[in-house]
Amino acid sequence: MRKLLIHSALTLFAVLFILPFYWTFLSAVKSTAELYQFPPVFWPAEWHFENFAASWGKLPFNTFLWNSTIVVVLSTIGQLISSSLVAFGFARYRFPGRDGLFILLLATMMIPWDVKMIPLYMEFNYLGWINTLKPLIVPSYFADAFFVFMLRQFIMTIPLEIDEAARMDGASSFDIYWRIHLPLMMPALILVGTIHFMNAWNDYLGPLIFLNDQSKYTLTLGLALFKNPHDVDITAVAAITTLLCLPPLVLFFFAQRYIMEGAVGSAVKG
Amino acid sequence: MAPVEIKGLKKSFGSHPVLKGIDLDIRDGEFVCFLGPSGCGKSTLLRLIAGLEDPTAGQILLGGRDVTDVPSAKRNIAMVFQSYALYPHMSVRKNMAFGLSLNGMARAEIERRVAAAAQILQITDLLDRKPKQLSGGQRQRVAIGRAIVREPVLFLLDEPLSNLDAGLRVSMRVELAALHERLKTTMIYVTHDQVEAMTLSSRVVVLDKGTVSQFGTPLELFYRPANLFVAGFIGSPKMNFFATPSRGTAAREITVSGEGFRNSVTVGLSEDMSCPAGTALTLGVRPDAISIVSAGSGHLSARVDLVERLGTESHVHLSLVETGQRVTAIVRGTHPVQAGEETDIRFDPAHCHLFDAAGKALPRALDSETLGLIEREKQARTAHATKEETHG
Repeated sequence: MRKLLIHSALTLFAVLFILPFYWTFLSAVKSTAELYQFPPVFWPAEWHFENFAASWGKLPFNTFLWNSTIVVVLSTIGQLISSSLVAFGFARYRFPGRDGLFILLLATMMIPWDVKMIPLYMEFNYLGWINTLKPLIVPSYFADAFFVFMLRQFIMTIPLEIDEAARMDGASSFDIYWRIHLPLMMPALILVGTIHFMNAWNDYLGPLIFLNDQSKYTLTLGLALFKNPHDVDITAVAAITTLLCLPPLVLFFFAQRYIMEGAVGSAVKG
Repeated sequence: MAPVEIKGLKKSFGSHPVLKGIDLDIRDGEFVCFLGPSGCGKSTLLRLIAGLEDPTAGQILLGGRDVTDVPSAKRNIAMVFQSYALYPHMSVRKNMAFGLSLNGMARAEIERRVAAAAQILQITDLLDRKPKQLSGGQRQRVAIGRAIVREPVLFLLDEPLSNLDAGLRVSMRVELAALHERLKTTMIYVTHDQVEAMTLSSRVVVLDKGTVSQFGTPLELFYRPANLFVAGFIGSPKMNFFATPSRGTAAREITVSGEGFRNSVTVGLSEDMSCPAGTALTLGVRPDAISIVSAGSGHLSARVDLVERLGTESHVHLSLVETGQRVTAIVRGTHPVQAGEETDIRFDPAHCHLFDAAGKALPRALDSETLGLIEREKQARTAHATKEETHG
């Protein structure tokens, strides 16, 4: 009975979470008439899968996809390298003021992005980076406080004796980071990579502020072009949104084992 | 292979001194154990030799070369850690080859060395496994293999058997001794287990609160402990101590007696010593030098608290009637003594030790058999080390 209750509750929540996705997908493949029909249609009479290709072709989405890919791939690489390096430093080096510096780093998490928006714009404008992809990529090479915290906690579960054994084997500090810690950190790195990938892929405000030309737009900005003060192309918005959901979903599917491990943390690490 | 010289080595962590000036001279090819209780500084001393910690003062010489400021990787030392410290993501083969490949050694030579070490340690069939697929004993072998392939001049072993179960520890101990015999490399072994230290080493360094209490062969430590600490630390069950002021001296002997003593005890010395009556001394008696005798016929009266029957011998725990002091005696396994009995204990003066007020041992006389044994052990150690030097 208890099991039945739990499973019923879980099924209910699963339906609640899946429903918006299903509704978006339905909106993408319905005919225009069914789109506005009331009561709503949950199983279209005709499935218009051609809406996906048609919506993709309405605007230069190949360019947007290319821009998004560049931003996401380069910034994820940067985030993984920089955050893991900084975390390694905080976890393994003893230097005066280390703990104070770490608290300062964590404190930066409390500053909302909206507060930093204008200073960042001024800074990037000064550097001549406005209307380029650089403001969306380069900051990722300077580590993120949350990821540094997460990776540091993970590194601290790796016995120090392994570092010492490597040092006696002739490894430099960078060797220890690169050959020992990075491979051991893989579950945590996959978690960091996945979270950052999703953030960068879904980012709307950053591209909106720093990009002007349509040729530089990312997918999220491109999607917003379907909406203007007079009209919204609901089918196109739903079709492109459905397509935009696919890469994070696929990534999550492959990375979920590591994400769960990372979330459970060091408590169960053998 | 290399001798190790340590001169005035000190180490403090903040204001807390851990090593207070260590001087040691370890000969080429020796197997030396650092023995002491937790917190005595033995692991810190090993880590200083390894180069994993920087000394506060003093020098470390390896093969005559001052390596105090040389990074650990350049000292040509290999270390086996207590937790094995194998790289979890690498196979056994890669674990063993890691150091060699970092140093840019040719692949063929790496493979030759790994294969040779694997054969010595009988882990050839495990080379492609990951550490998590190995048992504790196998992991320990891999950790030793990783040290062997580097062909270092000095092996450091930090309590390498402490994570193994009792049976495996005994067999690994025998294998380590055989390995030392085969490699003939200087080895320094840290342990808090005196059985390991006594059975493996050619000499033992007993450390106490950051200082060397005694550096000698296992038999020297047992039969001629330099002070109260070594006397109490070496031997199990521990030596019993009694506050016994001097009652007078004669040629090469001192007579002592303490509170509750029915008769005095005369202990033979190896040299004449002046010790006026009333001088504070401590009498040390190992449990096997105490016999249980009928009431009124021994040195002290005691009550039997507990008898632990171990088969070939029994450990008898007693309380002295006069002072309540706890005493442990070892008797034959079939001795009829029982808990609750009132009895007497008698000391064998030939096996008694005396210590002055500062805890320093007085030079006790030993029988010719024991002396011969100690001498033979010393000679064997010297011959072994000389042979290593000739080989080197």
